[in-house]
Amino acid sequence: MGSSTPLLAVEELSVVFDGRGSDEVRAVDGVSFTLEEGRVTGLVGESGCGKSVTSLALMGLLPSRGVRVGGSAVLRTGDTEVDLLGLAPGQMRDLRGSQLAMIFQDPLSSLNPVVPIGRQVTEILTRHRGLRGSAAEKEAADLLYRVGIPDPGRRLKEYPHQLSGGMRQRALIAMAVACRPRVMIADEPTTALDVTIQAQILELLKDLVTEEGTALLMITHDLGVVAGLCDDINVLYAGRAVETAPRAPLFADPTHPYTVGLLGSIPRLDAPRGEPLTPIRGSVNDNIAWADGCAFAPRCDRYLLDCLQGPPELVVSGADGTHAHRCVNPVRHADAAARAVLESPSVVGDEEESA
Amino acid sequence: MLRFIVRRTLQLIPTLGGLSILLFIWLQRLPGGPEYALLPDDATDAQRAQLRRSLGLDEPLTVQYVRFLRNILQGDLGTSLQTGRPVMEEFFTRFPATFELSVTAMLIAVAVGIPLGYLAARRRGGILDFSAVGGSLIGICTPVFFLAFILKVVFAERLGLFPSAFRLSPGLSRTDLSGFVILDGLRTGELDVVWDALMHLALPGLALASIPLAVIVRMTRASVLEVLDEDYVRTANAKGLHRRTVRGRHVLRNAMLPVVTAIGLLTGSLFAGAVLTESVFAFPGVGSFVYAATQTRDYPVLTGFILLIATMYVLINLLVDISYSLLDPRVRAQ
Amino acid sequence: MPTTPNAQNPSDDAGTPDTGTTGPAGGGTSLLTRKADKVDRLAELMGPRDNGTGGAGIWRTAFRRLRRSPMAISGAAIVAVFVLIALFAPLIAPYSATAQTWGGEVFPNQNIFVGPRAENWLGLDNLGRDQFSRMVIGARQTLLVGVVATLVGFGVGALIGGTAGAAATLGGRWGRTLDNAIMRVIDMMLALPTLLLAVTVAALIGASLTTVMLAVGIAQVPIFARLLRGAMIAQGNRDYVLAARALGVRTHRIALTHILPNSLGPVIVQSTLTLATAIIDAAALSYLGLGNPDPSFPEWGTMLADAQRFLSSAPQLAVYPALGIIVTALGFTLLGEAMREALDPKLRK
Repeated sequence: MGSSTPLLAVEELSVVFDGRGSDEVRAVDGVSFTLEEGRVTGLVGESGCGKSVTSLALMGLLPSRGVRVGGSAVLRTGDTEVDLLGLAPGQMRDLRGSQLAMIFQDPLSSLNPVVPIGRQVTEILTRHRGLRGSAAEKEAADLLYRVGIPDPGRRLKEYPHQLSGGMRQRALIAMAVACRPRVMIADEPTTALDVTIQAQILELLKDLVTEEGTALLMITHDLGVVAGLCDDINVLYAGRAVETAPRAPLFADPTHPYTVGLLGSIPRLDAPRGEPLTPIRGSVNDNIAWADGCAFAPRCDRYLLDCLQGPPELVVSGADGTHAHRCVNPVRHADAAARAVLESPSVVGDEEESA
Repeated sequence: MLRFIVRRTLQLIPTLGGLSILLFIWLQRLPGGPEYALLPDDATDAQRAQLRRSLGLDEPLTVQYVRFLRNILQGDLGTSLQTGRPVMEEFFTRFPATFELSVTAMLIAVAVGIPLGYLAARRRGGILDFSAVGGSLIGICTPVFFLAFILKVVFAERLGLFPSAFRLSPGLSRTDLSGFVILDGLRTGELDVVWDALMHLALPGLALASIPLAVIVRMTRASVLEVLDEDYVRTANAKGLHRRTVRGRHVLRNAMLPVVTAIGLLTGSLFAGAVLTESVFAFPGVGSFVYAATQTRDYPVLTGFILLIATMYVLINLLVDISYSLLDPRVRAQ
Repeated sequence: MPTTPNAQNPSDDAGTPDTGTTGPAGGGTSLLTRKADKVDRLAELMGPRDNGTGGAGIWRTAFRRLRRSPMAISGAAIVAVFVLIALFAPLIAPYSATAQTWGGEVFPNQNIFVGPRAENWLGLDNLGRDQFSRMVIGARQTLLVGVVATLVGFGVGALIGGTAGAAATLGGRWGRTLDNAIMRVIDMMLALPTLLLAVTVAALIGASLTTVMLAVGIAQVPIFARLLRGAMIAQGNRDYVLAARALGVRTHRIALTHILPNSLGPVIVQSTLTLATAIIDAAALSYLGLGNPDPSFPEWGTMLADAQRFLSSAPQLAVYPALGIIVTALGFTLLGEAMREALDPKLRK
């Protein structure tokens, strides 16, 4: 993979909320990444870092008032290219569901409680593929079957509250893939689910990407999900990408202290017994404006006064130019090793299987 | 579904039974008691004792309650002190008028309130929103009888657009089938009667509609605003559905759930409002009869009216529960 | 500043004021100072931190939101003016509210009324009394009716609802039975329209101002009871109550120190709204002839009810008290609604 022309190219995306009475909030502050066919791109970060807002901006689902969206997001469909951010609401509505689809975090609240599952699946088929009546129902049953819902004929007539959590998420995925979209965005699709169900859903997403060649943007805070699913990863902090890299280098050789901190916060089976976890101190609210310096500085162990000399630039560090970080005092490989965040078999080992 | 209806109906029995006990205790235990309410203030103690005996008030409470309940179940609510006729009979002859008035008011409230509340929510913060919210607040704060008087003076007496009193113009000939003027008129084809009845219903209907209208506008607005923020509306938009599909199937349908409940609760206050409105427009319904009863302390009428309203209220809420369960599958499952 | 600039740290923080937090070491060790500089600079950039998100935070944010809400401000202004007029009524009213001083100038049966003029700002009523003085003194009675009725409704309702709520959350199975029984009765009372409930009370105990206050108050009991019980049960299911129970805090202490204070918000809101309802309902009761039978004693509801007779010939007599009632009720409603919005975490965005 890794074709030269990306399916969706996001350049310098920014989202600013006009604070009502208070200061405006820059939720996303110049994020750039690309999505390519059949590949999974991850947006990783703590809650509040702007990853969900990024996805809503791409889908055109942000409220129309009080929000300013900047930058561009060019979607290549056939030979034509359209900037998603510049489309009229009506055109965007035509693209949503057919070319762009989204899977949300909480499957229960994301499904209409008073409309049967079947209707919620067929309505998208009617809207974008013109299917009606029994044809739509048959297709809906097929879709449910494809996402692993047994006895789809019965499930179509049921309401969301009658389904289990995993089943609901499968139903939402069925709606997302109903029109074979080119780009799919999954916003924390497994957060609300049990661990065993999480694995099944991730497996399902992986299969859909491989089979359909869909480009998947995976939004998560869970590095386990990232390790298992994502090909390219963007680590976001306070609305900016602080490190972008393909999966292997990111896990093997993290350079930004925030990425290192995220990795250090994960409990590890192979760590010596009794060794404490190393959480990142403070919370995502302890930050400073990017204009003044690195937003992560207040929580950073490697913080220097240099960090406060305006916004740090994105620095390319990898040999092939795929690894970049935004840090004036990056972690070198040797440092990382010293911090016992060396590549682990569990993380790097399965790199081969999906490559 | 049928089982749900049966179960909800059976649940009414303890409620109504409890209500009868409450009403019974209420009547027996109030300061003074009925012998003070029934007799003039200067009656002697002997007269009061006599009345207590004749009303059976000196018997044990349980005996009294059983008799009270038996009478109610037999449809015997006592005799009106004003007219000397059975209370039940008085109610039945007047009920059709009040029913027509209440239905008119509710139709106005629902037909205007839901669209207005919806539009106010869609254009939150706009002029329409501001005037709808402001207007409904003023509506809630305006005494119904004052509004009724203003409507009567302005539209009936000054402008002469509507009749100022009664249910039909005097001297209008009509075939009486059931007491329901509009239904009868439609069945016999006497359209002039229907029109005349509607003209008479307009002003009292509007006055009576004011509070339910105000409540429905605000409920609908709040409910729609809440639903617009729901995740499933975002999902519907993410599916690229047409705006009208999103609004109809996903927003309105969910937003109507609390409004349906509110409509049920409002019917109770509608009957209370009818007492005030009917008296202003000399509308010959249960309301103006009860108004007269409050003036003369006609206590069998008041008791009967409370029981009647409570029963109707309970029945209407049963209907609301049933329609709610049709709208919301989650309720059925419980 | 004793900071020694080095290659790694070329910042120009000469402008940064020395906050004296360099510790007991004073300016001695450059490492410590440099660290302090870094911390200072960071703190400066992070701006003032809001740490008041604890228990009092809800009330403080609610108050802050109220101050910004035009609804709350106009409501509070109306209520303040009304309460001031009511409190100082005897000082404000220029004439006696009951003396028929100008009785010789007004003849209702000949349609002769006196409108606003220099000595009587709002004209005379149908018996030749100064309308402005009656309005002012009437405000006092109206406030009294509203407050007493609300207190009755709140007191009795809170007692019933509080008992039911505490029983349901803390009393185990027996408590739930008690709660069930109480709430059945309350639900039945709720089944009756408040005004009708009030009419019945008033019709049975005779017409007087006390009757109106009692009747309107009793009619509000089920609402308060339900509200407080609901709020308490909602609070009782919160984790902090579970935590308190797990720590072995006695149940009545939990009810008094944890659940009740946290349930008060909606009750305060409801009280404000009830003041409006009470004033409107009292007017309706007066109209039904169940209010104060002494017409010389001015009260807006009674005044409005009396003035209905002259509505065609002298509408102003009805309009003044009606406006008084509407504006006052609106004031309480606006304030109550604004408080509800400010306290509702769902609407807080």
